[in-house]
Amino acid sequence: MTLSLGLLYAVGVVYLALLFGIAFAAERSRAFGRLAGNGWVYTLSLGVYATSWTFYGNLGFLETHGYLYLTIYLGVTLAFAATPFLLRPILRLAREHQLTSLADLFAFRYRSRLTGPLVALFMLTGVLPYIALQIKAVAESAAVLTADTPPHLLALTFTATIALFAILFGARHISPREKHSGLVVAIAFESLVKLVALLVIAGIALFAVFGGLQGLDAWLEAHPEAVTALYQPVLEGGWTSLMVLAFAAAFLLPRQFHMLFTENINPETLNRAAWGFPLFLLLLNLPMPLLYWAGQAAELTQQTNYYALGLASWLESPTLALLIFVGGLSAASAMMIVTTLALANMGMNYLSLPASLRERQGLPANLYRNLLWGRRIWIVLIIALGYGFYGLLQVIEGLAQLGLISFAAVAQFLPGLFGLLLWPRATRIGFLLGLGAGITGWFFSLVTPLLSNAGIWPQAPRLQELVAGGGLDPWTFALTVSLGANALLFILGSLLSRPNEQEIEAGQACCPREPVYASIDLPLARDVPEMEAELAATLGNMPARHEVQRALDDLGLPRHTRSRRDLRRLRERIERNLSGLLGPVLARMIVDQHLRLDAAGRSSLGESLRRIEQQLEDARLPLTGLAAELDALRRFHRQILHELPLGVCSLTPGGEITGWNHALTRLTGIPTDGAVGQLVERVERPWGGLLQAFLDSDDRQIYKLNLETRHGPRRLNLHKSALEVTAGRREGYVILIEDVTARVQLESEVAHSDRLASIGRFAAGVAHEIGNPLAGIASLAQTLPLEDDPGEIRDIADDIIAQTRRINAIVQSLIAFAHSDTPPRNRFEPVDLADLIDEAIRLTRLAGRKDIRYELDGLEGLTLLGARPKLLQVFINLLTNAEQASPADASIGIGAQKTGARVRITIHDQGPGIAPSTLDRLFEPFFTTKPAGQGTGLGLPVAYSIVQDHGGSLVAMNAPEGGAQFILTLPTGRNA
Amino acid sequence: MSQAASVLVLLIGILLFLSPVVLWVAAIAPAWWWPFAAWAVLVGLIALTMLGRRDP
Repeated sequence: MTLSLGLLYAVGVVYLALLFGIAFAAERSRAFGRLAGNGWVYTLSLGVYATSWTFYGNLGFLETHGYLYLTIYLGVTLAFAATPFLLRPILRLAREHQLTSLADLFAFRYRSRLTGPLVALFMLTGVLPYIALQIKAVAESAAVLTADTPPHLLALTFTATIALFAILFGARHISPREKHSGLVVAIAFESLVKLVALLVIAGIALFAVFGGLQGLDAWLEAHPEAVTALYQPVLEGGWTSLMVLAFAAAFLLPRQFHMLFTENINPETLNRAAWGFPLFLLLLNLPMPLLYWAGQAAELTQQTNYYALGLASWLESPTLALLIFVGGLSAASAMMIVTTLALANMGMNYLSLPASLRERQGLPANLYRNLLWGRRIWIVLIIALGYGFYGLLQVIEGLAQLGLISFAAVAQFLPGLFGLLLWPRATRIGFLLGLGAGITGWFFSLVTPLLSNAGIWPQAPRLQELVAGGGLDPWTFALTVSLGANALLFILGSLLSRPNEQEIEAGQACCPREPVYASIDLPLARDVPEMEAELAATLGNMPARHEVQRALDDLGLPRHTRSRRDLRRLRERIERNLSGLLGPVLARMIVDQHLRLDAAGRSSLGESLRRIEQQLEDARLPLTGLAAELDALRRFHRQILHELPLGVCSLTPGGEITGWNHALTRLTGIPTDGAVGQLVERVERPWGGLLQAFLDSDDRQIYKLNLETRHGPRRLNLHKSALEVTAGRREGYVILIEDVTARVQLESEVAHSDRLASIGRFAAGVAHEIGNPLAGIASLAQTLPLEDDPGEIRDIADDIIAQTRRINAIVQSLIAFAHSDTPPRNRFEPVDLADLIDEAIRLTRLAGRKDIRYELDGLEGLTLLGARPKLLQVFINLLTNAEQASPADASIGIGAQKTGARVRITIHDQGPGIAPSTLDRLFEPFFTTKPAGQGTGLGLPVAYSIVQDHGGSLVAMNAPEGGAQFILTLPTGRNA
Repeated sequence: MSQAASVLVLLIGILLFLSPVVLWVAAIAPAWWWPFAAWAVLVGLIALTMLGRRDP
């Protein structure tokens, strides 16, 4: 049975159009597009691994190498069994640092300008023949069906269509960091087509050729050599080498890396793929022995590779033949599309862009447009090169052999990969040396023999012959030599070279065991517009703005932020996003050049510790041993600070807030996250202004500061300490803020009560003091009508006025005393001391004893700064106390002396003194030695509190000559 | 299941397909489907280690 070429063309076009349609629908329709994040779709998309080599070449490989063909899929199964500690860490790195290709991964870890280009070039060289192989398979499969020579026009048309698909659905977005849901769904569909095609032909062949399972068993019994032939090659060697090659290929082949990591939408789908993909491969390979034996039994004349097509022809079923042809087309097209995309990305970032950068001394204008079109040009170039190689492959037999050469190429990355995941000490020198040796070994052990055998380079050196390694199978020899030299030079090179700072940082980022301690240096830029302007110098205005805004959106930061901590995070995020666009090397170069760090400045220890704390919290890695204990201690201390009833704020020497506890949040209404990282002057008013002013002042404490807040007036005590953890170096400040509003309110009420109590004491004396002048006024008023002399009348009137003034003075004093409240300190006034003492004595005598004499000394000319009514209350309380302690006819001495900016006032009585047991409790509220009902115990505490409010001090002691002595020190007023 | 289970399954896989057991089985040349059966068992064990796993 033969088919016409025209029919094959038509079927091919319809199938590829269907593929376009599926991809288009997935891109446009949200519901359909969500399929790309489905676990089974993701798993099937990994079926891109199974190319024409699997679909056709497996049979040829099975014929010559028996069950060795299974190694290509069992090796993959072992790699996926190691998902939790092999594939998942790579996925984490790829997502976290936006690494979109193999070259990105290695360039990120091994920080050298050679790494990316070397990996990209090697991949291009090693994988191009594999692309050509797909074109060859499509052309040859058409030749089998048409019984004609391979139609090169068909191959060309197929190649051009694949290029178009790759451009339309793989290079739609500016950056490879964007996911292509259409591509993922289309590739998954192709995997399904491959699987169905093989299972269908195998199932039909089973019944058509053997008559069912029993027939197969009977045939095998009649041909025991059929089974033996499968196992025999395994005994001849090469099994382990091929398993290792397949293990590496499972995730290092560009197409596998692209679908596994770059196009992964949902990380959880990797768990499904870990067993789903090996299951897919098992189902795909199960029919192979069956197809081979069916072909043998049917005595097909076609090349073994194309037995599936041959069986369809033998069954004279055009439908089946077209199904197999479409299956082969799926296998080839999927591989070509994905591989081309992956290689185009590497070529763009590591070969084109750096060249452009050197030539123009900057990135091209219209960066995004250039990146998009650059990527598309690379796709066309790679496909064209693949087609060129296809021409070369006309003389090379064996699909599988070419595929294995590509496998051996990617296996050269194994030492570097294990270093990336497990050995932070590995260096770029070691990687480059090892890879160089591996490439050399690969070339002379595999490539040159192939070229020699094909007659392309007959004199090509064959390493295996040169080193007399004839005893080993070629794959074992090639792997041993290339990987062995690679690993050896990688280890030696790493040990003999020293990693630079960037490599240490990259090593820590890749190593899963330790938290990452990123740079603690702060960016020089002061705000976001400044960062944008710096980036625009290389990226251009629009791309710079776009990238900065993207990073701000990713982090949820406001554009107007000026927090150093936010700017540092923004810088890191911009670098990661640029890494997804341009590769990690260029991204790092741009950020280091334009968003420079303040390397000359030094972060405070507090800031460093805070960064480490934040990273420990973010990393959430389980700590053990001493690290776990230290972390527990850190958390305990942090908890203590946060739960203190005092507000605690810590700052760097530069004024950046590094600590803000819960009490301060309750007081200010500013959450910890909103304060930490901000410069103190930027904190919401009035708190920012308050803290900044306190920081700038020389005061270490401020008591009962009055502050208007949005919750009303607050009274605060502030305390400030400098932190000097390292000798001589100021590490910052800590400010304690105590809200004493309630206490001050209580003190005010207590003082008021005390005043009222005093007035109560004064009542009898007041009545007497007012009564006397009133009696005098009444007496004078009675004589007034009897006087005729105007002079006498005037004298009597003057006496009456004098008496009323006397009454008025007493009443005014009482009113002022009863209604006094402490004014703010900035409204304190100069108060004449002598005058104040006079009034205090007068008021005290109202309720007190008349037998007490007051001896005044040194009061003249002295002025206090304060609130007169409050100071009056102090002296009234002290004099009342002194009078109550004095015996009959005693004297109370009041002396004053100016000492600097203060006045020292002494009140001394001749009483029995203060018992030592009560001396310490004298100023305690409600403490009294008087019997119940005779004293409130508030007089002295109130006096003490008022003196403190005035910035003074009050001390009680026993005088050497006997009696109690109270010493007040108060600030002096003007003109003192 | 923990990471330890994955390690165990990987070791079983290595035992089945990367150790001298392979040569021993090849020498015996059992039924043609034996490698596929062993492969299916390994896939099943991998599936068991992945069930219920929630990775960030």
